[in-house]
Amino acid sequence: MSKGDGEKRMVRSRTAKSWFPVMAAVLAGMPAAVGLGAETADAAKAPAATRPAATRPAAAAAVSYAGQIRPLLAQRCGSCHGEQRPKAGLSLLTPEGMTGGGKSGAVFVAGKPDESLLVQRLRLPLDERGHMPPANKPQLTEAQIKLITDWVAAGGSFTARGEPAGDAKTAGTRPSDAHAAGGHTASNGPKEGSTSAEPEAKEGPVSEPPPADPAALSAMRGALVHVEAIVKGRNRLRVDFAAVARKTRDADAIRLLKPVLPQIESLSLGRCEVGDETARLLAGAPRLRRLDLRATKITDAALAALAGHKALKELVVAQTQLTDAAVDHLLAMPALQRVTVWKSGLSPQALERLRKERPRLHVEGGDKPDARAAEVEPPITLSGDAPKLK
Amino acid sequence: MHPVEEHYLDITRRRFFGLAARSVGASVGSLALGSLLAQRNARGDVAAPASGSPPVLAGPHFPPKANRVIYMHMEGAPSQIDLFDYKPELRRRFDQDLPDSIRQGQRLTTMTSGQSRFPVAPSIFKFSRYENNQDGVWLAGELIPHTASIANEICFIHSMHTEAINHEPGITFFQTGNQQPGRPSFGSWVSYGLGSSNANLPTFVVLITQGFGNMQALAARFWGSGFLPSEHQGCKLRSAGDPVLYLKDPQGVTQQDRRRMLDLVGDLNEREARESLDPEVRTRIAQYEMAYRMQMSVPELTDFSDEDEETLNMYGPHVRKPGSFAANCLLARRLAERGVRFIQLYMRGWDAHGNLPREIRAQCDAVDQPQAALIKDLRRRGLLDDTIVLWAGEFGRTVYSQGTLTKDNYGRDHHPRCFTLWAAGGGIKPGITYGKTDDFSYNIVENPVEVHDLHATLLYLLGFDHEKLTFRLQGRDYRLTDVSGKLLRPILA
Repeated sequence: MSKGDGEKRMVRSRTAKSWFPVMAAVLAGMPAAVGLGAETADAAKAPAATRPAATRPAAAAAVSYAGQIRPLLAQRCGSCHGEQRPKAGLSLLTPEGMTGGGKSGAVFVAGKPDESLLVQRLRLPLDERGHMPPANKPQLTEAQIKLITDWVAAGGSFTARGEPAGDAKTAGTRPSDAHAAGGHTASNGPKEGSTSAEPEAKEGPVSEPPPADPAALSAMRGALVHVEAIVKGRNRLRVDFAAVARKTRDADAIRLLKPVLPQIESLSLGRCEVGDETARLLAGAPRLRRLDLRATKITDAALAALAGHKALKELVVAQTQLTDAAVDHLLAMPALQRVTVWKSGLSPQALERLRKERPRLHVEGGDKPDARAAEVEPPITLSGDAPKLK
Repeated sequence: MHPVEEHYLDITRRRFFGLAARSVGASVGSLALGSLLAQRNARGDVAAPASGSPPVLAGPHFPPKANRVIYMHMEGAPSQIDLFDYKPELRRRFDQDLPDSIRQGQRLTTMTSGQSRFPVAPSIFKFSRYENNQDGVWLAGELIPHTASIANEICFIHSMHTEAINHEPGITFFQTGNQQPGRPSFGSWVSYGLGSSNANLPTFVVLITQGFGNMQALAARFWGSGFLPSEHQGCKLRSAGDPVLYLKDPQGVTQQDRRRMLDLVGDLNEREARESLDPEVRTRIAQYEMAYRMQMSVPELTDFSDEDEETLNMYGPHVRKPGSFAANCLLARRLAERGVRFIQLYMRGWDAHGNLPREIRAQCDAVDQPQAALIKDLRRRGLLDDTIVLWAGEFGRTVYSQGTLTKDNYGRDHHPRCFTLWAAGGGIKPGITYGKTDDFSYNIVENPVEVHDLHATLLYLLGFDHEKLTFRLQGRDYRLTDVSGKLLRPILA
């Protein structure tokens, strides 16, 4: 036995996984853009991007979640994917269940039926493993499958028609309303949106970036900078400079990061010797969702550069030299959900202002109060008084 | 893969590295060679295909909520009844016999199975109800006041159970998903699945603290890689003297000498690898290179002089004592911020068969403040969001006393049928409790959780479908969760 056996198996299963939806889609006469290798993804991109636009308006006008989709799912899927102990952890009967997904991940990608497990599984040939509903159960008709496909293509909205949220014009590009549940789709959008007085959260680009330049990846690895795909087979990257933090200056970071700006989703520059110049570069990373600038040389100028960033959701600026003026820049980040500002130089007044003006922003200032004892047990006396049990 | 097949693949691999190196105008020195070959994991993200096409960027099955784990194993099994599982009614059943309807003839260890009676020993420690994100959680504030103060960050699972009734199989089960030795440990699976995110440090690090109570053996195979490539095994950092033995250059050997030696040995090993086709030779090359880089990274890691006074004080009075739980908690935070994937802490000495009150006081005094400080410190640095912190023993302890029961002293035997563990951070729902036990903390009455369920859930948070993270051995695909494990959705944030 060599570890090669294991490797080969991994390769084989990856291949199987990648081609699975493609086969399904081909059999169903559809193009697909899921889990492909880099080259095939490019080929499939064009049709995947154009088709929803063509089908969307008509579909959106026709399909209602409450009126059509939910009753259909309840009838054909509900006995296994109901609310009590749903199979594969997937409940299809509530918006939360739908957005939360199941064991195999997200059940649908708003606007992209081809990339949606729900649609893929329905379209698989009856004898194919994974076809849903199972072969011995009543099946959906072609028309019913099309209904679900159209609903996903129209954005998979859970609200009733006529409400602004179900607007056909925007439906294809926005994640579903209940998406805030934080499911694991690749296209998680900001969750807050226009629900309060806070700035309108505009969507960052939700599309998959092209594959990163292999030379750029090799350069990063050669410099001992960690880079990995967020999800197997996809192009978005997590980059971590931890191994070389103390040696990394602006010039190094900029040289290594510049070629992969479109791909970066999560970046840790914690403890690096980098500052505002790197932050200015990152303002141009459209898919950057989590940025760790802990214990770096940044100043207010870095946050000024990042103000208005449409995708940035989590920001760590603990142990930096900011001033209270940075609050304005943080308030100008429309997608921001969590910010860590411990020892960042922000005064308690500044934290208070931040919390007041953005009540839904989670501000971690290292000042969270301890959990208090709400009730204390009376003095303990031991006895054998209680009536004995058998 | 057939060795010959792999050999040919290797040749293309080497050709690729040469091409890639030229194309970015850098040279692939032996150091780079080591680091490039170092990563052989489930994702195969370094084994680039033929030149021309982009490297295959693998990754988890879905976007991870957590990027690393700090697992604090309480070796010996802490008493759930005296710390977490509040049973005030038992205070009126002191020295009553454990009812047969509760015991149900379940198996006992041979340490107490011969006892003539099983007298109920209520906890003598005072509990309080602490605020959390539900209606509060009762904890022995007398023993663990600091941990209680972070009740709003923690998920307590009161309904854990295990198959094992003795320490060795119990720890082996928690660490490897199987009671018999030989399988890869949890940390090794994570290393195999995710790979390193800091090429200068091991992916899986083990830190051990000696306890104040009865201590059981702690075998190195608890952090062994089993049948996974040996680079995925845990690296134990010693608390006294050099953290890693033989890392320093011997007297009279300069850094340049070391480098030249490594280059020569690396070259010889490379020839050996080509001839013998044994993948473990490559592991050896990688380990030598890792050790070379660790000559720089480990001293920097273990030197606390850049920590401020406030932080040191937060971890409590023992933080400056190497090997203390406090020092290891601080070290765990430093490892976490340096991108180490799996940090395993062991606290020994929870096996309180007799004199439980005295022993548990000393144990809690050693762990309480540091573990709470670790959570708070991770949180304020923005690290708790993507770090799972797990605190668990290998089983629980009996409600009946082992040996003599008095109003201020008792012992407790092993109890696998129910116990409490807690977890925080990394996508776990904060400030909740999950599962319930009966009035005697003897049987689970609500939401039982198996060890495999826990593993499946933690792997999920790390981005893996536990059924798909496999390694083929002797014709069978092995998993950490063996043939079971279900996701505990209610504890996910």
